[in-house]
Amino acid sequence: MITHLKLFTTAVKQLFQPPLTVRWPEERRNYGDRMRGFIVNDRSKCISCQLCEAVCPAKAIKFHLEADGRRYPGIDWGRCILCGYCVDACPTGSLQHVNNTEIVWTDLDVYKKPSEMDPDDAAPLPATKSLI
Amino acid sequence: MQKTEWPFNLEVGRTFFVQSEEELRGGGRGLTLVVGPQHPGSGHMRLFVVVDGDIIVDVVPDPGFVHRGVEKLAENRPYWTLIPLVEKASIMDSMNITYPLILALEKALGLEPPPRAKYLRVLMAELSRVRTHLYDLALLGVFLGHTTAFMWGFALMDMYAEVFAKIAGARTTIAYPVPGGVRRDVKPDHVEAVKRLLEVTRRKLKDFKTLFLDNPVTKARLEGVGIVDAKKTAELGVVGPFARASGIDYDVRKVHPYDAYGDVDFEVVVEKDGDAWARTLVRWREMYESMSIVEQVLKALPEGDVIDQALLFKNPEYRREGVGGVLGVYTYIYPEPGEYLAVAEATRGATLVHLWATGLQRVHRMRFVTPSWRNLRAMVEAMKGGRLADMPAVYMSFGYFPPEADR
Repeated sequence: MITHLKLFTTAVKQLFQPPLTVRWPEERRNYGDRMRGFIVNDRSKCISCQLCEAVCPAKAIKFHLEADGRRYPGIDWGRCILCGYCVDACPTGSLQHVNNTEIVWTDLDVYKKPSEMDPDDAAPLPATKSLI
Repeated sequence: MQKTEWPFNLEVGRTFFVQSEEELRGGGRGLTLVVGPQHPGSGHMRLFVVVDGDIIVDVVPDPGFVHRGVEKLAENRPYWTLIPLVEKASIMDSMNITYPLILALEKALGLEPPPRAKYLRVLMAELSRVRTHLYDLALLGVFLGHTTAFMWGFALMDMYAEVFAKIAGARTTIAYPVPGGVRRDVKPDHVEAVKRLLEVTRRKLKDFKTLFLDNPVTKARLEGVGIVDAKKTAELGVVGPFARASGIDYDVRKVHPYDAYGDVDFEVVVEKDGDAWARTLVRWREMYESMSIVEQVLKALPEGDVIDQALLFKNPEYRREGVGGVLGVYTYIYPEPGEYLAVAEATRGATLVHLWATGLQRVHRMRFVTPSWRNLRAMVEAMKGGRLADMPAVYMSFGYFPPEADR
């Protein structure tokens, strides 16, 4: 009987606790500034050393020739596992994570083509709710 | 005892006479049930269950539905890319499951992590342990029909995911350690977050205990169910908390202390009964032990670098604030030829990695033994002789995680 009463009071106590659920997209979880979201490349810093291609565990990075005669890394988002090895290997810091994991492609061919993310598309999203 | 044949020749749902008469009264009739391969709560898995009435006479497991061929894939890629490959076996427990690989690679490359990195690894490993135990207990709850325990366990687990994302950058597959150190240093606000997390966990676990463990229904469902005694546990090669629940006092962290485990003080949790209730209690008490280890680590966290000086010396311009940033160095260092063996205590038991390096960046062979695979046979043995309704309770009391077992 006492056990059942204890169970009941524990359940009632929860009525006065704040909810843990997140009302997306009005609220977003705050994961801090280290969150490994999508990866953007700053072409002014890139030295085309191809180290990111060498360390990639998923073979997601391919270099492509641009009009300025230089090669830049493009990421196949169908293969990328967002481990961040390329960002850690980059000697100049030109590859960086953005705090955004909510990008949607509507065309499968565009999604799988190794390409550079447009920084405007990958703008950081406001993160408000923190459970801890 | 006559060995049961692989029951593919048996027609599903057909009544037949059971062959192994020692287990079944003479002339008794059996029925083959196929449990799975739907996702029962922790991964795809199939069991062929022979029942007499509602008593389980025989169980033949059919694992392999989530087999990815990690060992074969490992033969064809450079050693530093094995870390994200191996950790996919157990995504909540990614720090612990990659631990033996990291230890073996450090032996092969001749690297030694600095003291701060060792403590940070232990910190993340123990947080990961609490989180995986919460996951398993939550699933045990929902397997017993206790949905509140599932919701509460997962809500608590998500707080750990948030702290992982703040420290390492990802909610689950963190790929935090690298040979020779860790990838990210912790900052004072991360330490504060971990302290708050422990406080919240202790507070919430009190209510969780009242609702789940002190609940008479939970105790009635688990007590005396799926008993495996110490002798059988040893014979079947059970590891981790499931061996400790049968009274076997073995923990790799105590027997072969790696990294900072030699410096912290903790107790190896042992229960004697060997039933589903004992396996639940061992994991429950281990969570408190892990939290005490995390507190000790935070108190004694040394200052300094988080990456081996030998790596930084090879390429000092890689050093960036707060980031290990040495991944590029691995492309021009090579492991010494030889065989390297390492064992670590993951949440569900001892994990073993055996590397055969030939001096190339691609290892010749990697043997990867995971705890769920070791515990499968004992789980199946524990189910025999019990009631069909107790099968889910026995299944999840072993914390069986098919992706980890099938790897």
